[in-house]
Amino acid sequence: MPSLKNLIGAVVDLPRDLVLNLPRITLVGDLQLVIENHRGIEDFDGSYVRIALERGTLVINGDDLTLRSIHADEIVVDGSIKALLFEEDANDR
Amino acid sequence: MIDRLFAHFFGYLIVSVSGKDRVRFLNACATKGIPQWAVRTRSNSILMYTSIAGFKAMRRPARQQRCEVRVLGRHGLPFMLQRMQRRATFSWGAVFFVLLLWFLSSFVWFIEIEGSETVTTAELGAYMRTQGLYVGAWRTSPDLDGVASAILREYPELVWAGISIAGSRVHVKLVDKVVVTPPLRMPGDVVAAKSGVLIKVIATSGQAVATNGQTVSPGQILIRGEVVIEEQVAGQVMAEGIVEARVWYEAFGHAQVSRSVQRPTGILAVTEVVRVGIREFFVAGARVSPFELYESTVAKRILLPGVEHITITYRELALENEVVSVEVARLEAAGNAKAMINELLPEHTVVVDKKLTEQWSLDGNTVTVRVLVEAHEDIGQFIPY
Repeated sequence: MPSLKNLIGAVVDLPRDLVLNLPRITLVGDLQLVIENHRGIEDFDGSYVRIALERGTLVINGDDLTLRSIHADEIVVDGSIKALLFEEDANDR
Repeated sequence: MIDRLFAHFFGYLIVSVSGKDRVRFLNACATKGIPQWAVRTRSNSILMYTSIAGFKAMRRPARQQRCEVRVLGRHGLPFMLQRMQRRATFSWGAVFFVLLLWFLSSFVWFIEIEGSETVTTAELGAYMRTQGLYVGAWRTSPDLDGVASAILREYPELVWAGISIAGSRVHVKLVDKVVVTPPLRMPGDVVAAKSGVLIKVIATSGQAVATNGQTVSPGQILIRGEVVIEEQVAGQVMAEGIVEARVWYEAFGHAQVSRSVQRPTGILAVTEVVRVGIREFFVAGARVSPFELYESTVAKRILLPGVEHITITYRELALENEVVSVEVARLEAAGNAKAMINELLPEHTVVVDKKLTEQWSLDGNTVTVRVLVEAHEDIGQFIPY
């Protein structure tokens, strides 16, 4: 089904994040990360944040990480961001 | 920025969330739209900021997720007002202070007057008092333009007066009238101010009675203030013209080959004084110089308004005999003589020749250099009848 959506999106030239229900992630330098269209926080510490996405999990590694704001559709992470990792769910593989 | 202002205005709390499912608690709060910001972890709990309404709304998800929410701090206007209600005297004191400040700033506290040399500050201050502008007056009561007009009427020697007020300070700016008087024209002669040999005599008004090449002495008439028609004196005028002459200046400079000079021995004595107002207290060192021959330096440091720390350093000097070469003495003497000549020469004098001659004293110790300068300058001086 995602491949069909992908195809429709490509044909009618719609933004992929809308068609495929993907998160929109904005990184400001290594200081701030804004994640829109998330599915909640899985785990959280000063050195990492795990955020659930439509497909898989986004892992943010860094130092002094704080959640600047948490809303139902948007999370803003502040701190010294070192790495981003997309983990796929076992079901998606 | 706006969010922070709103948070301060409506009040916010710093809360600690502890419990096994505290992350799920965050998600539950986000789903319910409960505001939460600056979320960070601390050992086994989460610290975050939330609004007062948000804290109330957190009870249900906290119960569902078996989390404990504790308030660590209360900030913002509602809590400040709450604290002020408990400290009524302090609050009223603050209100009273603001009102007192407003009340005191409603008066004129300072008046600055500048710009006039003819009208004294005390005189003008006394007059402005009669017009209602004085230290202690209600700052809105005097009509500043009216007072400025009244000042101009009272003091005709002023051409403009402007009064402005900034806070409790009144600034009065005055401009004096400048009376331009035409130069006096009275009959008189142009005479020689000093001795010299004339090189140029041009009379623009009156009759030239001296000629080029003539040697003149001080007071001698050069241009006479008369109008001559057909060899008859028809009237008197103010004599004017250019009278240039060769003038000589002479000066002598001296220098000794063998002389005694003062040199520091390297021995110091330091005196420290604290001055309070006009009184002086000696803190350390001698009250007077311990040396017969010395030079001293004074360094002042302000400790507090009206309190100074003064350090006086005395340096001992010793007389030593110094013998310089003839050439050095000659140069020194010539330098002294030239410096004296420069003091003698008036401004705008054109030096056309300079001669140096050397003379020695009988004992052979002192060299004297004579400088003779020839200059061209205007020696005319108007003397009225």
